[in-house]
Amino acid sequence: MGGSTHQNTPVSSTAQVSSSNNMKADLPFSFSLKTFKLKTKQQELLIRVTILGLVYILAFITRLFSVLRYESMIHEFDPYFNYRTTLFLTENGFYEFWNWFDSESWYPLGRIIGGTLYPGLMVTAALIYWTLRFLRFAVHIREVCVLTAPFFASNTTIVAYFFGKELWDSGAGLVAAALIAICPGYISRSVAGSYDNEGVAIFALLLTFYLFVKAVNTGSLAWALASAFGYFYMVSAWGGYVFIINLIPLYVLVLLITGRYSMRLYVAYNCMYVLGMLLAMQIQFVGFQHVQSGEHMAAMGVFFLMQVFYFLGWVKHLLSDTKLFQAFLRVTLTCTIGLGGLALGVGMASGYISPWTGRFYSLLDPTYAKDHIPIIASVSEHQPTAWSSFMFDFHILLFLFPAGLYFCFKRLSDTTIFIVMYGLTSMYFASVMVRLILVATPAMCLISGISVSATLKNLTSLIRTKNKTLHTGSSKGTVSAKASSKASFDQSPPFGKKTAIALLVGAFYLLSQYAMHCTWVTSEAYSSPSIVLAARGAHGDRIIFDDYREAYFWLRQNTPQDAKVMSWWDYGYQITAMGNRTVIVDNNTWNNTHIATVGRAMSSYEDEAYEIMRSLDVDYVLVVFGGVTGYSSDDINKFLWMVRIGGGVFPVIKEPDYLVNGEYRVDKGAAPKMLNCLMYKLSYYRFGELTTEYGKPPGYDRARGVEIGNKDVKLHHLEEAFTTSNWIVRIYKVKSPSNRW
Amino acid sequence: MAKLSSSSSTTSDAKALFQTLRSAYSATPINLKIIDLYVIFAILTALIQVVYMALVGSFPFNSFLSGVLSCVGTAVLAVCLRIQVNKENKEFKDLPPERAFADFVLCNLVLHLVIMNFLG
Amino acid sequence: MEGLRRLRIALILSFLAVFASHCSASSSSPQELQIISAERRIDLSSHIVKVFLTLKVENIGTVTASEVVLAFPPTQVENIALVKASSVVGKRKKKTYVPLPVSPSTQPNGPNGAQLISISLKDPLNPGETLTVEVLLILTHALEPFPAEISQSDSQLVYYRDSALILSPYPVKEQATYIKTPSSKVESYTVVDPTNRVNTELKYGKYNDQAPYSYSPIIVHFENNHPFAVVEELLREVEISHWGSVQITEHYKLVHAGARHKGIFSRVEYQSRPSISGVSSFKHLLLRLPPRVHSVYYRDGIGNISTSHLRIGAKKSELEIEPRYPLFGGWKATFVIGYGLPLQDFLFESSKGVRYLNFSFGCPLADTLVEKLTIKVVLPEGSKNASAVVPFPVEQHLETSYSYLDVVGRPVVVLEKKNVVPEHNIPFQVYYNFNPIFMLAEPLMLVSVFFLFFVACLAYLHVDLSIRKS
Repeated sequence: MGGSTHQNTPVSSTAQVSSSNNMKADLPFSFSLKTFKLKTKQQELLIRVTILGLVYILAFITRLFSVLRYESMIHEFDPYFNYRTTLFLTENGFYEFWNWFDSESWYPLGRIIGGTLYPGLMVTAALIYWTLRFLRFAVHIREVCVLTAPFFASNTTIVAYFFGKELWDSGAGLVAAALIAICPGYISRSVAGSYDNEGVAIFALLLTFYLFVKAVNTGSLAWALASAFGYFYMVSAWGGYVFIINLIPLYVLVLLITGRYSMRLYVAYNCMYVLGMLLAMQIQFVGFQHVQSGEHMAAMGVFFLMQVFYFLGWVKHLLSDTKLFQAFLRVTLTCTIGLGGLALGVGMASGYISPWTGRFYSLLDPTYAKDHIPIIASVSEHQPTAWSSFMFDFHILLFLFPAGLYFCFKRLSDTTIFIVMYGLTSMYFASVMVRLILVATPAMCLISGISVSATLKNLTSLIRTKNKTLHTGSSKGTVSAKASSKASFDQSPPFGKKTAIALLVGAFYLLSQYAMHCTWVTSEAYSSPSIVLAARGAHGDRIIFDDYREAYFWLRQNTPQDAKVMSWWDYGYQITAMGNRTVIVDNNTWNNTHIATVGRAMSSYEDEAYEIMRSLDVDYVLVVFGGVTGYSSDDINKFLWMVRIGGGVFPVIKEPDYLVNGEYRVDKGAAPKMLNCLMYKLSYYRFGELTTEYGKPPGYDRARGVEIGNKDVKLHHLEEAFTTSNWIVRIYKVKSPSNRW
Repeated sequence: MAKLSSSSSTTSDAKALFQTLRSAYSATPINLKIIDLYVIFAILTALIQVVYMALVGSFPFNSFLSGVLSCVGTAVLAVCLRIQVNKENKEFKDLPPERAFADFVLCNLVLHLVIMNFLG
Repeated sequence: MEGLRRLRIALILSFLAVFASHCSASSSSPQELQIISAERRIDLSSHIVKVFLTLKVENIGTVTASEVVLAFPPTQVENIALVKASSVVGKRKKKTYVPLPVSPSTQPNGPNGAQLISISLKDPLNPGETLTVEVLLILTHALEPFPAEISQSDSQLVYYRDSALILSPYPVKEQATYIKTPSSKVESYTVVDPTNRVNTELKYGKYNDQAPYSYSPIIVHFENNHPFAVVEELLREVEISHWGSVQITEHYKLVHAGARHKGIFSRVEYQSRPSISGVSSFKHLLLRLPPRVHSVYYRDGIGNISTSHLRIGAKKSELEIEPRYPLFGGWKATFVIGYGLPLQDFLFESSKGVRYLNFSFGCPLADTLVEKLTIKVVLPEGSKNASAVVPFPVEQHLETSYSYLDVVGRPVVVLEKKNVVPEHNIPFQVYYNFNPIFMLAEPLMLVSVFFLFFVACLAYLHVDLSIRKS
């Protein structure tokens, strides 16, 4: 950059002299125009900066739908835990946060929060909060938490621009930045209010990859150090860092196999691996996994392989005799492979190197979780992806991706090999689990950006050259110009200017359809806070169901401070964060037996459940019921998972007891155990007296669409403490044992 | 007889290998030799620590890891420096050696700061 | 001789008698008043008890009277929130009310610990003249729920304890007390002849020729389902910004102070039988706000509450809010209400450099009692000599708070008062000095930040940071 400007100045100075003479000639009028006329390079810079600025703002604004429609609040379940820990961090400082033992969840076990979370997100939000406070902006931590994800999404677009520039050219970078700003696959987890790890982690992921690719291209230790820091940020932010620590060694291996080993690769990988591993081990939750877990062994293996390659390269350089070198090579290779295999085998057999954990193993074998770990299988985000989800989240990127792959293969370099590998592996994982579409999004956008940019460039240069040749006429210069312009194409197009214009219009149409689709998807599908439900009333006005917060606030204000609440694990984080009461199980799901105990209590008859609740010191029971409003994510629909998880640990709970001919019913034909279990009783207590829909008998369950079987529910050990105005959340108080005399 | 000859050929091969290596190595510049010495020192220290761990046991594991990794890390960084400073490497032709050394110092600084935090 | 001595003794004795009577008269009161007729109307329809006392006072002594003293039993004195007195001038259609200042009496307590409050008369009452005084007395926490715990379908019954005879330091010739209950359901009442009950009005009287400090305790046990909305703590922050707005934030801790709710809460009963179930609970609260209010929000610790209606008018605005759940006895709700008002309606300049804020004290919630009210008036940075003038006794002190773009902090005038009722919604003033130059402080700060940033960019671009001179 510096060199080129030095070269330009002699030329521009003469131009400036001539232009200044012109200026002196017609000073008053043309003074204003001449001074604002920019050189082409400056024009291009201005356009680029403007586009990037607009993309940055766009990425932020498109995620603000739910803040404008409802309010600035935290969505879903997991973000409430993150919000609570961030609040704790800002109030008590980092040392308290790092060593926090929480006794308000998983009663009576408690949870070591400091050692079992990924602190990146919380520390980031707290740093932003402290910075703003220092600059005398008195913001509340909740506003910072709500807007952290859109802010980092905007930063991701900038990184995508630089990555695209590294991959192909600045045009591809701009297109990739624009695509990733509005891509629904990314928006789904980074909308304002979705204060979750992925919002920050995708930024860290793309940053790490960009810095590593830059390090491999330049061979500079500084870039490798930067990528190690990027990796550290990723490890602190999300458990998906395992993807990085396996993709990068795989990439290095592919480069080695294709004969692209170089010194730059050695410098980049080694520095990044050693420093990155050390930095990653500072996070308590990760601990020593980099040297002990099977998921991280690939990186270590490649590390040793690189040393061997370097050593061999050095010896080859020193020896001039190839025969000697061949012998040496054979000896070294057999030694290395033997040693490596031995170490790996001993490690795995002795159990020192732990095998792949269930969560990641189910990525390689999708049927594993369903048979062995029902808790992982029950999470809706872990189901395999349907084609409609792909189309919904990616739209035109689906066919631009293979086109981009074609372009990458045409111009193979270290960088394009990386992006091809990233794209293919992430697409495989995205097809296994819906949640991982998020990881594939940056790769899709980058590769599609390449194809769009290359195609558009070809088409526009075709149009422009045609103009030039028309003007210059049939001279030798024209012929040479034509030939040179032809050589600059990737392929010589057999069509004329009109076709090029038509294709450009078509491309413009496709991209505008993409923009409209993305905005529609964001507005309709991904902007609901899921804690506040909205519907349209009879007159078209908006009715808001704020039942969850009604129940949590009631718990917070009107129950004793040390009351313990039992509910299904979905609501644990929300009850602790908003209701401020101790819960028995929550979304962390680290103790399967404890969850199974709660599941067993929910599936048993009232007397047995009462024994279990007394043993856990439960004061209140909370259930979610959608029969009055037609809300379908309630506990009765989740009930079978409670039975399965409970039955997985306590064989006394058998799933067939609750089904009739393999069918799950709640009406008159339901199984007798189903009609009398605690969950049924708590959901339908006194529901039989209520008429929910015009023309239907009382006790008509609108979520299941049937009239319930047992309308006369009597509770002996529990009493109704509170039900929200639309019956969505029902809270019961556990009565103390009756006096004996 | 054939075995003897093959073994003798391997020993003679090894001897020839050794001789060529030695003669070629003495031709390397002095600054690279210093770096090589540093690398060997670091690796030796790491080996000593591993032997000590094998004798005494690996508790506390983080101290052992930090010790070994600091040696291995600095050895690897020194090798990277060697690569960048070596005039025969075409890829690093226009990288000034001061810049390479500054990068090396920076990375070592970061490495040892993290080690100090990790020692426990 | 003997007659002279007897005469001297008689004179001395009479002097002593006169002196003693004079002394005794001055120790009790130099003035002698008599209440010709007293009428007391007690309004028990809400949870704040209002007592209207009409006294026709006659000066039967020889000294002009400058004050009228009222007596209260010690249990009632704790519950007094407000005493207002006025004298009635004119008759029938031409009645005018002249307000009279009220203060605690300097005289010692009456018998059995009766506390005395004196009303100072504007024009002293000459001997032989009569004067009609009207007193408004507001009592809080005077209704005791009995039974103390009720279930969802029970109605709320409360005790009211008072005296059939008006406690007064003066003899009362004729008196009557009328008690108005909210509904005709009265469980029991003490009978002190003559007592009469017609529908919602209970009459005790007429009683004639009662001696001073005569007292006859009564208890009325009746049904009162009026919402017992009590705000335990209210913090009102009034933030003045010279850029054109007054921003008010109010933090409420609301509780239902009636009979505690015990047992179950059944939503189906509450929704299907509203006339029987939950009659003592309340759902709606009304706030009276000034006109031209804007940016009203209603939220609590966990987010926005959407159940509210705002009606903006030319003379006043009304905000009707519903807490997240209906409040039964003993249930609490905390929330925050904030709104903005135009500055020119409330800030005025009194003399050179001295400005004052004219704002209404008290809680905007209609018909609620506030147990502890704290008002913080946050003045802009650079204000000096802040002081408040309030028409009734409050506790004042100053502190500092930090907000957006603050360097030295903003002075805050803190006023605290206990037992605040809606009758306390009268304006008060806060005076302070402000030099208009200080308004430039914030723009200058922002300008200088941008300037420094641009200078830093310039410096970075022109500094040579390369490792080697090439």
